[in-house]
Amino acid sequence: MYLKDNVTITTAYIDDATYSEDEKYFINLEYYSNAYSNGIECFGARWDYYTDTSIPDKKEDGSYGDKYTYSSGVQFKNGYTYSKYADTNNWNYSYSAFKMNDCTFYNTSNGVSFDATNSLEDMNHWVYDIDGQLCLIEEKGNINEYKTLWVDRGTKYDTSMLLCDLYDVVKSLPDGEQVITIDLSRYYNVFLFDGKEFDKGTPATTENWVFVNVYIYKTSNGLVSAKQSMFKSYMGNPEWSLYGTASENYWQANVEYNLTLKDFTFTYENGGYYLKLQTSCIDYLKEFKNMRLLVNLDIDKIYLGADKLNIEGFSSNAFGGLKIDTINLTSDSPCTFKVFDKKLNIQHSDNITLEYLEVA
Amino acid sequence: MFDKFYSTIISVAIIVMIGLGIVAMIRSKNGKPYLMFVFGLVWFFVGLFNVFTGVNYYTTYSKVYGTLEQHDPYEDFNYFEYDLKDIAWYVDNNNYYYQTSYATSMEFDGTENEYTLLLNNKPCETSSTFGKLRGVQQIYFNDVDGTYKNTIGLDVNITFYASSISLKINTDATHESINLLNEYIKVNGFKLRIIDKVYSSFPLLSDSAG
Repeated sequence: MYLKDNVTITTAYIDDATYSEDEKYFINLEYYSNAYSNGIECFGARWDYYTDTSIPDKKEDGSYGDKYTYSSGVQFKNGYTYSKYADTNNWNYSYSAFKMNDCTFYNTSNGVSFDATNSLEDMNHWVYDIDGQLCLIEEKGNINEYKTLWVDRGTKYDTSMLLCDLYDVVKSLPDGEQVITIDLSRYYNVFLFDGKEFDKGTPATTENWVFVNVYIYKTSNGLVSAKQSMFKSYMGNPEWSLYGTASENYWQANVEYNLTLKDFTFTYENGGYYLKLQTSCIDYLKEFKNMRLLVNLDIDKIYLGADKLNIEGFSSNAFGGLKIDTINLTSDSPCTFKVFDKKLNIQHSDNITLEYLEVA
Repeated sequence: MFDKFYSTIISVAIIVMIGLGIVAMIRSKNGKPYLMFVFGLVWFFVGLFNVFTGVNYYTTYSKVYGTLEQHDPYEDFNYFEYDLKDIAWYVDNNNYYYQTSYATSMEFDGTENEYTLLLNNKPCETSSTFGKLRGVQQIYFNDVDGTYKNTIGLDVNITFYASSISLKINTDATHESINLLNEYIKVNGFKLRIIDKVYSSFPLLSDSAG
């Protein structure tokens, strides 16, 4: 793997990527290793780029914008084979790339929806941006120097070699988001833009322009749904799912919330002490919609203060206008519980007698 | 009821007194000019009032002075947010779950501070200790005829390491009920929010464990 000298692998938090000279990642990788055996293995690589025929206008701050115009990528399915071997009859090394029939290519020009295709767009027009310096890549090497199984798809051997090397690195990384820096000049010629055209006479070699950051997301989970992938698709199928994504309609979904004794306070009225919800609780719950409020009270455990005064029941405005779905009252001994609101849905144990009072 | 009766009595009394005053003026020799003067004054102010009302009515126009913004009750509090609308469930023995990790950090102390975990801006029953946060939520589904359809429980467990955050969401959804949860997420999204605030309850009543 041709990594930046003296730097093997850098791990960084994407939000704090101050090391990065180019915030737009030219190469993005994702790898679902399926180490947890809960899905399928999937490895994908995506290039984001301009083309030499569609360079955006330079902005006042000297940049070309925060996003690239195009994206192209390749996704390999579970069970692909990959190996490197040396041709002992020839001092040249040969790389065996990923199986052709186990991959799908993707292209997009809107960055949102990817179209599955049979090949990558022509790489020899791809342009990346480092701090306002545009760089055009050109595949180098020739078919006699490197042999790959990609030959029937065109001479994408440099990309094949790059993917093999990147896959080697990704397999060794821990889970999460990471960034590594690679030397592109091993795989591509890089030509610099001088403001008018790309100088194709001399490839750039300084690390300022040929060392690019590669964004990597790796997880030990397997892929279970197409929407997990950065292409929002799996093998060209955006609806793919290992466990199915069928949905079943419903009318309303309410989140249950249990109110217990700690949510109540007391008030003195009608010659006795009555329960009511605390104002802070009412104000808190009023902020939420589609709630199913439940009340569960053990009357035997409700008494007031050191004198253990009894609570008579619910006060006349016990719930502050909140809609309570069900109140569940329990008691081990016979008792009477007073309620002002007859519309409350109260379930109670047999030895509790409800007494309904009129509001004065 | 007594208030209405009382105000009626007062109104009747005032009308009677005005009526008696008018009758007295009519019968009095020198009362008629004064009466005409009072009537003239009343008509003048009634006319003036109608003119102002008409002018207001025909010249009123609306103008936008600002915009209403949706109030976020937690906007002033620290929070951490995860948007999981593309969540994909894993399966283990007919139980669905989700797990992932984030290469980021957040200051969290579940023993010193209290937190609230919101799922789609609705509260979970939240508990925390040291570097762990747990939130439990039950979603109750009703069918179009108002009948009960199903309940799905969500158990969110978040672990705060020094340099990463681990998230695992267990559900009690099965092969039969996961479709309801998929629809719920399609309609509502799936957003987790951790806020550095908790609504306080005051245990004024004894044995307030409930």
